[in-house]
Amino acid sequence: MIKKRLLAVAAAGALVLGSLSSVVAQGNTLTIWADAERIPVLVELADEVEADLGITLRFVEIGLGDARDQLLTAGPVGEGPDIMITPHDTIGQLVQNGAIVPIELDADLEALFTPAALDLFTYQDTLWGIPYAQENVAVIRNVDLAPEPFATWDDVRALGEQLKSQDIFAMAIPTGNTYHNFPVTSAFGGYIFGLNEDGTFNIDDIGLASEGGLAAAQFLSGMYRDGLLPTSVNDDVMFSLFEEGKTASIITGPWYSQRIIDTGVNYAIDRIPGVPGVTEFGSPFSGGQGFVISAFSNNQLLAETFLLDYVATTEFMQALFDKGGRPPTFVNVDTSVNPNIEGFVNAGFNAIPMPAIPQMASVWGASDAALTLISLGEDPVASMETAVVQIKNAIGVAAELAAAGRTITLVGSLQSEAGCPGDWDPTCSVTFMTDNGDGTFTITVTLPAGDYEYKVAVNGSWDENYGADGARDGANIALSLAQETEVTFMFDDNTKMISDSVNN
Amino acid sequence: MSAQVKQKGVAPDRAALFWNVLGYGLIAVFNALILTLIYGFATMGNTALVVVLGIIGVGTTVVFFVPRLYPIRWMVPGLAFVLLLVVYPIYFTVANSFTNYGDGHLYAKQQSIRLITARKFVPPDALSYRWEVMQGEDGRYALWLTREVDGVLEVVFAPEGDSLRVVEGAASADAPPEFEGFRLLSGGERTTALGFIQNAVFGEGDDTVGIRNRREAARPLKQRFVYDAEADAITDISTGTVYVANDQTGFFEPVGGGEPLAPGFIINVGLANFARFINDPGLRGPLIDIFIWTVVFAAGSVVSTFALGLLMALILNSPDVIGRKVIQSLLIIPYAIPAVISIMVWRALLNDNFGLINRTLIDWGILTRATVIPWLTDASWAKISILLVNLWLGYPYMMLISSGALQAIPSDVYEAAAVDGATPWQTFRQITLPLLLVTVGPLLIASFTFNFNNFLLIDALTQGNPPIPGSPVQAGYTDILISYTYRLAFGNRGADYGYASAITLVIFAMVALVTVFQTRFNNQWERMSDNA
Repeated sequence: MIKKRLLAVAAAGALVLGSLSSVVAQGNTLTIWADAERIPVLVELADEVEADLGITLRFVEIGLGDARDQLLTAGPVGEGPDIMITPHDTIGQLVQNGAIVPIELDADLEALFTPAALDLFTYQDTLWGIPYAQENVAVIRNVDLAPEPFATWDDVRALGEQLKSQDIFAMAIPTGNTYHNFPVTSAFGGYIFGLNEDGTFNIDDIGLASEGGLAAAQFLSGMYRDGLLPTSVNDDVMFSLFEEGKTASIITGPWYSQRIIDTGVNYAIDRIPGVPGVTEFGSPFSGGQGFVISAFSNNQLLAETFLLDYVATTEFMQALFDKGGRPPTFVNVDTSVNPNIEGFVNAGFNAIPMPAIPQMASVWGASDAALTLISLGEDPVASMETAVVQIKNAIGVAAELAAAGRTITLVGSLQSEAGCPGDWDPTCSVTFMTDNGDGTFTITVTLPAGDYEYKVAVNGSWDENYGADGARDGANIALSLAQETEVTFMFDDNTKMISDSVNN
Repeated sequence: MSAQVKQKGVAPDRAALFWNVLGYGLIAVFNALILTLIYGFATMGNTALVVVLGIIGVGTTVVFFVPRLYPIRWMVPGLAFVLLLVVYPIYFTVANSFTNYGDGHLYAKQQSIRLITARKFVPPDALSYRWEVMQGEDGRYALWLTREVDGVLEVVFAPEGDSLRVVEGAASADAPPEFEGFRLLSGGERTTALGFIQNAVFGEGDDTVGIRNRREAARPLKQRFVYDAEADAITDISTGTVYVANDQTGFFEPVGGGEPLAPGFIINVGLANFARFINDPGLRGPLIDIFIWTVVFAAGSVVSTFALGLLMALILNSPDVIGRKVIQSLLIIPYAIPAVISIMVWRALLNDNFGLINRTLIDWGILTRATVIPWLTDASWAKISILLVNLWLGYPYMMLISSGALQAIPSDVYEAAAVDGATPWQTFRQITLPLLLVTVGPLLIASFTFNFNNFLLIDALTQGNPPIPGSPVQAGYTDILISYTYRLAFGNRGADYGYASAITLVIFAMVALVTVFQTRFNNQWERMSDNA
């Protein structure tokens, strides 16, 4: 009986001991989080590094998609890595949470990277990681079914009409997938986020329902309607169609390099078709993976030494490429063993970096849903416009939370009438608008007859203010009252639109 | 055996003594570990976990030393795990629901300040040197700095806590193996030093040097952000901007407006998360429909799986069925295969254009290519598909519990029924079912609550698709509450734990209400069976 009791105590002790070992800080150790494919390559490097630097490298297998969330959970309690591998589009969120530190490249090292790869890991003018792979989708064409590359999307359609009687599609694209459909969107001039003058993303300008975005949606809709583009397609369906010769082309990326070869199809890798008068070639998204240094690491200088002196070398980048087959970021890595790489790099010549800003998280679901609806025959314009509303709602709610306590002032020539000491005064609390909690603000004031002009100002200053049509620094809004009137003003912080009960 | 000896007051034999000493030793080790953990979590500022661990440590010790509590000893590990894995998470969820814990606000204020003030910057007029590290006999570190000015070599020796000195007449940029009692470090020693010198300041007064990266040192290298506790503000030394802590937003915000400093910190937002859930555009949109479908889905799953499972159990309960052990084993297979795998297979089978089911139906001439069944892409069909797949996944469990419960029904009531001339349907309706429900009723309620939150099935089979056109927040016809709110809290923007916690509590309240209602309903069955 006592034995049992002791076993229980011992078990509890062992459990606690186990958790303790991870709490206690490691000495001269670099902990590296990497995915299953990268770890073997890093392990090969370990002997040399350990001998040179007198350290121990500790590897933990974490999937590429999980690294960010894991770091944000484990890092603050001291259990995170010193270095980890992550996709480039997590950088914005990691920086927003102060979880990684910038990396400075020496000029000689910088020259070894392709500039586009470094761009992927640059956020707010600062480099945050060492990229090792850069990738984009391309058109994989069955040369026997489609001897010539598609120059335009109309060519795709034309071939589809020609092959339809044989039950063959001209192209198969994963259905309802924003990433794989972006080449179509971009070819017609659509985009995700517009750009500010300084080159940063303008999150108020969502291009899915822009002229180009809608043209792309309409093109896709027509293709689905006429049975020229298969629906309910995922990667597996796409590859089986390709293998069976049921589609003349597919859109996929270099991570499926081997799978493409395994289909046994006589193929070529092409650039994305364009649209005459709009684009010569459509642009795929470019994405990348790289190494970042945790802000919670106690060994940042050592981590930097390891990354820049051992990882950012041609030999190691070559080893990573040989193992993983993803297009390298180093200019002098030899890719000749993999004939597909040249094709993918060629197709990515005009690739657009996938936005790495935190707001991108709000885009995927809504945009995927719109594309799914289009494949089901719903109205393309309404679907895309709904997606934009959904994205704005998601971003708006997030922005509202970030800006809880944001004050909105009704400013204008009507302020003194409303009880303020003067007109056009954003600091006057009498005309602060009431937060309705859903991003809209209202205020009701009784004004004598007369002609007025007004706008709204944010946080008691003119730095951020909105006028007619929701434009920032926009024109004054006129208000004419023939008699004394009780007027309700409303400002929607999501759309920045201003309305009042008299004009609208 | 030996415990009984002790209780009788007889002097413990050697073996008992040995076990007792070992027991005390282990309790001591256990407490030492608990204390270490408490210390660790206390330094991280996690008070709640410290309290929980404290209770576990003290409780275990008390139980061990008080003979009267002897019977409780067996429950100690269980109770400890309940505290750690059930009570604490509930507390954690409730506490989080009143905060803005989430992306951008992941840390307590102190930790955010630590992260922000750790950043450095190089003033525009700073000098840049190459560095090597040396160590004195007293353990102090020093940097050997070199740079070229117009082709002339300049060497500076920079010890910790001492003024910088120009080294005259150095022949080469290489550091000497020894200099004034300081030894040049290399290999493992140098590596060890890196951790200590990365944030150290060399030199004294206004003239200092800091390490900028693995090759360069800057003279000076300054701390970019300085925190002033009195003003509760952070000053950016490089620009002079002052960022004041705003306890309403959880950010350090620049005076006069602009981008706040990242990261922000956790603040108490009161009921804001709940208010946001109520004001969320999602609530004005599809939430009602989703709630109705959730109830339909959960209830439908329970009823359909129970009906089929019971039917199978009744059939297999009859001794006339040939090879029923084999059939029973085969029928349990769907239950034995991991659900995720089954769902993935079903998803492929049900694919509209390329799935095996539709293809087969076309091959048999029942359907044409134009009239395929939209299993997963039509709102109603997708719901049917979900119920069918869940039926496949769930009926073996119902069959198992039903056959168990059927065995427990005494045979004399059936004999009595037969004597009274009851038809088989009457027997089933008035004897089998009521008596069965007494036993399996609670399990049906458990099944309902499980399906109410069956995130895995929805996420793996349809991900909520097909989407609802025109919905203000992205939602699908097959979304149930948990999959929908998961997307609301996590999918549409990074992690938002405070909001997610609030939603969890709301769903918990809903499920609790339904369960209470069902328990009442079940009690009625029990009364009925008492009468039977």
